[in-house]
Amino acid sequence: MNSFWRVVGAVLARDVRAEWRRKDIFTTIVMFGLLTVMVFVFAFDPARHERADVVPGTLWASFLFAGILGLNRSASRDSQDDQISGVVTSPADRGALYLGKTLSNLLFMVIGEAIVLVAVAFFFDLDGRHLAPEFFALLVLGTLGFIGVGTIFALVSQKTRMQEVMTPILLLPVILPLLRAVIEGTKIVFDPTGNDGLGSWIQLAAGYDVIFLIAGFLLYGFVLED
Amino acid sequence: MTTTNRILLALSGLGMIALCVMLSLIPRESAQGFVQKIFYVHVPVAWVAFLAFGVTGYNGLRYLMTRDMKFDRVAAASAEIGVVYISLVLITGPLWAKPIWGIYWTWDLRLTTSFILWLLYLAYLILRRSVDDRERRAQLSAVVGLISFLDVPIVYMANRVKASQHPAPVVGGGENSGLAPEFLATLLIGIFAFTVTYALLLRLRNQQARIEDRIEDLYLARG
Repeated sequence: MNSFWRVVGAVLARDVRAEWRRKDIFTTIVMFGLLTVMVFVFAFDPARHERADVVPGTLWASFLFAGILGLNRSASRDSQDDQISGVVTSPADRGALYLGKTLSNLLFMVIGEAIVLVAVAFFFDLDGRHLAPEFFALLVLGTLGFIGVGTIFALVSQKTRMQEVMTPILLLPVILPLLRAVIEGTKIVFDPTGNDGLGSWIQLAAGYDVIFLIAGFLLYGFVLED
Repeated sequence: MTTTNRILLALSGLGMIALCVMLSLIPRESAQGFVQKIFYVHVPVAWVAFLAFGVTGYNGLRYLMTRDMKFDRVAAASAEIGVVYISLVLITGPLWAKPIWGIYWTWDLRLTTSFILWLLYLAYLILRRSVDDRERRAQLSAVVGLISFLDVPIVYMANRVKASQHPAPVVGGGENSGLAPEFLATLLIGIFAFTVTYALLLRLRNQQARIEDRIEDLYLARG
């Protein structure tokens, strides 16, 4: 068990060190996140719509698209530096490798999201009523599930002829129910009239996370070693 | 053609003919009239699509456990046929919806679920086309096939929350559900016909894939 967590820590430390030197995942997520927000501002004029109608979708679409690019960057960096073959030949537990990679992706994603969120809060005048604890619960659950599935699909995509292009094709259909849950949940949080029905969306997102984190944990080795 | 295939072909042909005969014999449904008859195609096809994706997920799992290529061939064949069937669901549904609801499409539970299923398994097939090495393809598609299969019930739950325009299941869907005997018989014949056709297509596609693999082996062996 001890060696399990050492592997998790080693993978996390390796990714953080590589990211500290290049900062390319971070820049990708933040830049693309902000640009997606702009696209949505033009698509749905916020002056003519309720905040609860525009902001949740804008926020999550921006996280999703920026996150896919970040996941791709993270996975292709492993292949480029040929770290993958070192990892595959090591006797390390495959589940630990998955957990380490998921944690590092999660870390980069959360930092990127925080910056995009500050910008969105500024542009759309969000305050404590919107950024309530329930909102952050949804944010954590949505990001966790997305990164949990995304980490394994980004690696699958690296092994196909289409490479990075494959990630959204595989990931988006699978992530749709989670996306639905967090967007609907966020809409309820933003709606001033009350939090009816929020619990079922949070439950759905949490259930999704549990199922797919376990699946990723068990299946990552098969993808790694094909 | 093997004996089993001949039998399946005969059963599938007989089932389809029986379905056509029944469709012309049964009375028109009182509320919807003639157009309601699409029900006897729409529901069986949807049922087989779910079955097909289950077969893909199960065979993917078997492949990961055994590394036997035969499971990968079945998984692939079943996904291909499943996509054809779910496409039929997405075609027959709107044809039925337009005269009854006045619109071809609405984003409700079953429609959204079917469309997401279609996307899920189309992505699975795109993945298969994008990997050349046979073992690698089998391995990656087994993982993706399993994850997609796990996703199916969650997709359903995620879309359940809002009120649905689509009717609840007519058979086994609660207290007032149920069909008149002749309608039920037609539905069962439809399910039988489309399931047997699926089994036949699955076998044929599977045999074809096996021959393809053997040809590739011979080609590689020759150098």
